[in-house]
Amino acid sequence: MAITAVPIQPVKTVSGNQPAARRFIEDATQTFKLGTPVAIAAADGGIIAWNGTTVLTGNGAVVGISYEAASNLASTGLGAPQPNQPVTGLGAAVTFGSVPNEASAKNIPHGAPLNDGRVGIFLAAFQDTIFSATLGNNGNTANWADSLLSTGGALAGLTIDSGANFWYVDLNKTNEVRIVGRDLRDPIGAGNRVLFQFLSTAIQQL
Amino acid sequence: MLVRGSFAQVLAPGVHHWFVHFLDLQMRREEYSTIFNVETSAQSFEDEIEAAGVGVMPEKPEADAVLYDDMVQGGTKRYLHLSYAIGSRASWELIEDDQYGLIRQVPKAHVRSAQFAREIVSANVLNLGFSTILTIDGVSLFNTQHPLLGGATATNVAPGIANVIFASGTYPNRPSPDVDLSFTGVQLMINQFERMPDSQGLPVRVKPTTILIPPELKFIAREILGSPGKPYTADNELNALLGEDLKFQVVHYFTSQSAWFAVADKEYHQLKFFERHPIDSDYDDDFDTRSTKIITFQRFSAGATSWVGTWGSNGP
Repeated sequence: MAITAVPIQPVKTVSGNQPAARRFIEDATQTFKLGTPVAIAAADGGIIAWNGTTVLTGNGAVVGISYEAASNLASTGLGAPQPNQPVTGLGAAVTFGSVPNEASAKNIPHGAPLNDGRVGIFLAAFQDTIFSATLGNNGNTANWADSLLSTGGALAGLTIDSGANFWYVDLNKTNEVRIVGRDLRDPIGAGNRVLFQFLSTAIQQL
Repeated sequence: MLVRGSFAQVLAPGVHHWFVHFLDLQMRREEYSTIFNVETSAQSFEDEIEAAGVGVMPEKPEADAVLYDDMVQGGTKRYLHLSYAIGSRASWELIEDDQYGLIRQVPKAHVRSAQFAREIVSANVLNLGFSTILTIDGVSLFNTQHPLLGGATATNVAPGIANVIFASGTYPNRPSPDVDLSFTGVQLMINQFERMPDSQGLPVRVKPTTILIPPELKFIAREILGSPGKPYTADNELNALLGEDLKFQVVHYFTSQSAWFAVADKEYHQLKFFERHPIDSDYDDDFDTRSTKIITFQRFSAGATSWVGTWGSNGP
């Protein structure tokens, strides 16, 4: 059965602390969803969706999991506040219509979500945060088997599903994450979630 | 992390005086609240929307039908509150052995830091008002061509502004080119205030009352605004600026030594400071180490809804 994943989310930490999270400027024209593995663009430092293939410890590798969706900004970090400055942008990514005789003025729908030119991510670094994601195998659902833990955890990768465009733990890969257990919130069966940590050899430390 | 090794001098009594900057040196009096309209907020952000009235009421010839005109809705200005916070940590041993109670005073340093954040963020609304700080019309706070909702019709209606504006349908609150603080510069500023229209071109009651300057300009300001005769001439003319009842205020958080600004009384301009969460401190002890963590935080935003009632020149 073709897999339909759910957003990756942090569920606990090894240390018992809060999952390490930071906000970075969002790169231009990004449309990734909540729970997406993200990287940092070499050109301008903006957060971009991970390409799914770069497994390094340097630039282009995963830096974390987004905890909010991208805002499709017109330029990288549009409106993000600089130190000691207020937000210089609109404060929202959604506008409508036009303003008579004021070409640069914008109508913000009342109640439109706030936007400060940045996007928040849970850091993959330090291998402290344990994430949960749907288990799959090369585009299909997969069953969790406790035997996967027999060698200290199964190595796997991350792949985006073709339906919901969320990312899942892919048993068809072996180079990105280590599965460390079953997500006990799900009943045993196809499409359940597993807990994983990023491999230190496959992330960019921040 | 403050530990006994890094603050060894507090461990032994006998020091006559600790010259502690955040205790012995007074911070300048609050300045942002004398310039900005300070309001409170209970939301993540505050949206403000502009609306213009109708144009000039025309004659209705006898038996002719009345002309209808519509109000104009303008854009939106959103104030997005940011959080500001700072923390300090001290070991339990240091706090217990501190003979002067100095380490316990750290929250006072935090408050000073918090107050500075308010001042500098607010001042940067003006410092950056020539570039990145935008008002509801989508252009910089101080601009030679603020577009009017009424467009060219508004500037056709507004009386006597032909020599004041730089483009039809717009109005300036900045000279072109920028001018130094001077007698003629202040006159130019007053003229732009006097002719200031609303978005339909109807003159508005707005009068500059305060010139905001960096410390370096206070001597010039005193000469220009305080001289009984016209400054820098030997003709014994009256100082015509005396009748304008202008005062100047030094703002110690301005970054330029030549930029200067003018504002009307608060009720006539839309510079705003929203307090979402007042300066607040909290502390807790780490159970394992018994170290104390102290944090101070606040949330606020500052900006300008409209340019009306403000004026700025970025020096020459």
